[in-house]
Amino acid sequence: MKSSPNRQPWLRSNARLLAAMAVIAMAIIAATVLVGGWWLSLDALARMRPKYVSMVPSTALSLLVLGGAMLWRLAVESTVGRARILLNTLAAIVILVAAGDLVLILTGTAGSIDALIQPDNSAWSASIKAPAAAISLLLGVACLLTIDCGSRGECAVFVWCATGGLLAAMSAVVGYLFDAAALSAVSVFTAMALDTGVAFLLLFAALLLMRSDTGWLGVLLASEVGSAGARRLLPLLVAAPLTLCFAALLLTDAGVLTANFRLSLTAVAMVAALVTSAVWTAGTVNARERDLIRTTHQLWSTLRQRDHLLQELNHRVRNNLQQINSLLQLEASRMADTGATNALRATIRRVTALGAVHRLLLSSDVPSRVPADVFLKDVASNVTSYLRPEIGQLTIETESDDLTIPVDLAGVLGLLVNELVTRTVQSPPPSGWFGSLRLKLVTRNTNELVMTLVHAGDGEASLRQHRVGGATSDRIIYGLIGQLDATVTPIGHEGMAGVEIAIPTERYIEDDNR
Amino acid sequence: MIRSVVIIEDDFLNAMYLEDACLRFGYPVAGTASSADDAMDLIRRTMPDCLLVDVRLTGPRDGIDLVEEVRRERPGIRIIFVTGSDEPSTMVRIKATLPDGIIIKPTDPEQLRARLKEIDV
Repeated sequence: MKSSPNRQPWLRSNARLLAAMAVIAMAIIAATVLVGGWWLSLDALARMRPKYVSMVPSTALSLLVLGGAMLWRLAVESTVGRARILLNTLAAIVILVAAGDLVLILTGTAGSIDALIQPDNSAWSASIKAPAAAISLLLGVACLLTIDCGSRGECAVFVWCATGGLLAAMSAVVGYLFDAAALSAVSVFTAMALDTGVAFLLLFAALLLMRSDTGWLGVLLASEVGSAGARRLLPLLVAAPLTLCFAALLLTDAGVLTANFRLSLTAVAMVAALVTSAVWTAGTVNARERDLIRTTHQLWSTLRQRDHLLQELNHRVRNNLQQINSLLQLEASRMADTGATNALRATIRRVTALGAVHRLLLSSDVPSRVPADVFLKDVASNVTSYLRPEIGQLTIETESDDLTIPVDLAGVLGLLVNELVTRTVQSPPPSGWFGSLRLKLVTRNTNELVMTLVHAGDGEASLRQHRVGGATSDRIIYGLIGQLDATVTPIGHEGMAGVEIAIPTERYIEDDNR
Repeated sequence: MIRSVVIIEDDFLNAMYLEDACLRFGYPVAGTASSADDAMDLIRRTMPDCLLVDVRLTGPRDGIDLVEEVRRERPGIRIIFVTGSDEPSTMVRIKATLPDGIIIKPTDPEQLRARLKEIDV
């Protein structure tokens, strides 16, 4: 591909500069006509093409006012406060001139407002303004007043006015290219002077460039594939009809073609040019689409491979955990020493608690996180299943907010729950276990996870229970709490006892963002 | 009534652990197999009442293919899947065989005991 579709087109990135240049060029034409043509009476400066009409002074003045307003708008970037008042004032002047001209022309009072300004000057009093020029001035003012458009409707007004003005100016300029006399023959409406036509062409091009982010120019200058294709096609679409028609005109003038044959030949040639351009665009877009489909297939294939790899990895981890579990179970089942057997069984529970993360990881909707409610239930269910002979009918009720836990945290929490529940159920209250243990995981203050484990009983006893030093379980509990930077608070009220563990979660949010 | 169990598991350690657990819980083990073909031979020879089946096995056929074949030959046989493969697509295939239980690895022996007890009627 020759150009990247995502690169911003040169025209768009330099739109403001080009707009300013077009406005200045328009102002130079208007000033030249005004000063050189009308005040100094230099006919060559008043008319761009000898023997044809020239821009009238009121049009030149109006264009200068519009040009000034546009340069002001380009300099201040937005029109609020005083800038808006100035802009509105300049617009009002142009509206007065253009509307006055239209009234004079349509009522047949005079050829233009200029005749009223200098009735004694024969050149001025005889000057005739094309209604198209007055209408173009009004369109220019409408564009200026809506140039800061935000709403869809307001922007539509801007784009339609600017495009209408551009086409009117183009028809005048192109008319001169082919046969200017025919313009006047059709109607006085189209008889815009060549210098006026060129000046309006520059004016409306500048206006459109000033808002190159909106309308058809916005689409044409966008960075997407369709716009890139349209930009490539545009020179051909503009040049082909003009060139073909001009060539047909020259051939007719030379006597090679008759008028009718010229028309049919031009029509066929234009059809061929347009079809060629359409086919060429289709080919380009097709090639891009094929690239896109190929890339998408490659991405899907890579994604499937990664999914497969993840599943395989997860399966392997589980299998290895199962192997460790199996080895420990086999050893534990053959041991005569109760202490050693219990130690092995505690290790099996810990391995199983770690395995809970892997059991849930693949089924999680969020990558690298596990759903808290399912996780808590899974860990609690495993630990009670292993401890069933010791706890009888005691059950664990779990409750959690609707949240997901990062894998790192889940592994530690799984171990912590296992140890806390084990320690708790292995130290029953004097009256024995009744009811259920309640395990809860909730968020607090958006940056803290709070896990509580409570049961019926005495709070102080429960706290002591978790502070017994020396045992592996206690070392694990306080080691994990330290690792989490968590704070432990005993709970003891209304016949309930237990612990609350508050875990700051900032570091896990940072990990997620990494 | 479960009079004998066949364990179909490609991992020797896991098979050994399951065999040990079954024996501890009072369920005689008729044998173990690591592939679907070996398992079919063993099942035809020993006529067990219950199978503990892993999904991943040695050879081209997996545990689900095996169970589908076993179901055709012996519709009443009790089947418990003991597997580490709980991806949705695999679970759909497993459930289509109407197993009597699904235990996800790492396996808790109490879970196995409870499941065996439940189907031992």
